[in-house]
Amino acid sequence: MQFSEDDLRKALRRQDPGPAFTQRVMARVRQEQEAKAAASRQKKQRSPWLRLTLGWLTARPALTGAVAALALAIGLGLGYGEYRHVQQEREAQRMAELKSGKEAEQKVMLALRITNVKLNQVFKQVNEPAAAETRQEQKIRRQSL
Amino acid sequence: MDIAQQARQDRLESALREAQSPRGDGAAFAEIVQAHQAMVFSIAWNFLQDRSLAEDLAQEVFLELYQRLADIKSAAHLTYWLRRVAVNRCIDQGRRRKHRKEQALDDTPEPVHEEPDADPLLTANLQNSLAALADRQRMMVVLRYQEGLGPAEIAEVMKVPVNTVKSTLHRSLEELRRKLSRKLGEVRYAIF
Repeated sequence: MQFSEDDLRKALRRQDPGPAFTQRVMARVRQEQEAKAAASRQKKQRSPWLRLTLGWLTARPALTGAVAALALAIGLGLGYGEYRHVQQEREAQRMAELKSGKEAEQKVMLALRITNVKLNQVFKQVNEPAAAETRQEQKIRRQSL
Repeated sequence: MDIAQQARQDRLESALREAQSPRGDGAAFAEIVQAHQAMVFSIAWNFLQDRSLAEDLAQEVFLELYQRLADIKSAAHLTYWLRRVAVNRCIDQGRRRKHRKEQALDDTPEPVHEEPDADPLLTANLQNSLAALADRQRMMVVLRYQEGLGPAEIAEVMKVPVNTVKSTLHRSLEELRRKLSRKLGEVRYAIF
């Protein structure tokens, strides 16, 4: 199938999207205008001090940058200080917990030692009369023989 | 430039000045939109082959124009600006979409009056083959044959060297001819 450049021109000729398209574009433009008007109203409603400060800072971009950098540096410094403080508190709490754990361990060991001694004494008391009784029975048996 | 074209240009200049003035109403801007909507919409439509996407894109272009109206120096600059923004947005859109061809029935345009010598089969085949070209190639063909721009003007709009435009256009036409011949082969095979 052969085609000429004229065929290509006809295939690609302009098409008008119609008057509805213009209306849709104008509706979006109106939306844009309303949004802009609302933003400007909001701007005017700001307090005079804020407007003055913002206006002053906007007019001096270098100074605004310096102020922002300073605020950022102060913020970072304060944040780091707070972070260090929290870390130190956590460390102290951990050490206290470790110390109380050790004390508890020592108490348990002491209790176990006391129990051990007491059990030994009981064992001795229980076994000694039986041994004495056995010796007496052997003596009686020898005499009877 | 004939008298009718000159008068149209003068009308556009005055509409532009009126739209740019602080007390300008929407009517002047609407006139600008009306005068250029066929160009912007057709660039998008011929490039994307998707009516709703083309309409959205054309609307975005005019909205951007409204926001930057103060930068426009003349009616000629306005046409150049609209063409360039439409081209850039189309290529961006093409990159994002990788050309999925879809069209809702409701979005299909109403039948328009065809010129008596236009072959509908050839037109459809040309449009289909064009859709298969690479983005930059397709845009150059659209600018050359829809807008009637010369290689130098296309080079300026697309920010590429003139020689690149010439060689790309040549290659694109070759490719279109090859694709159409293949299509004809398929039709013959189906018939016999």
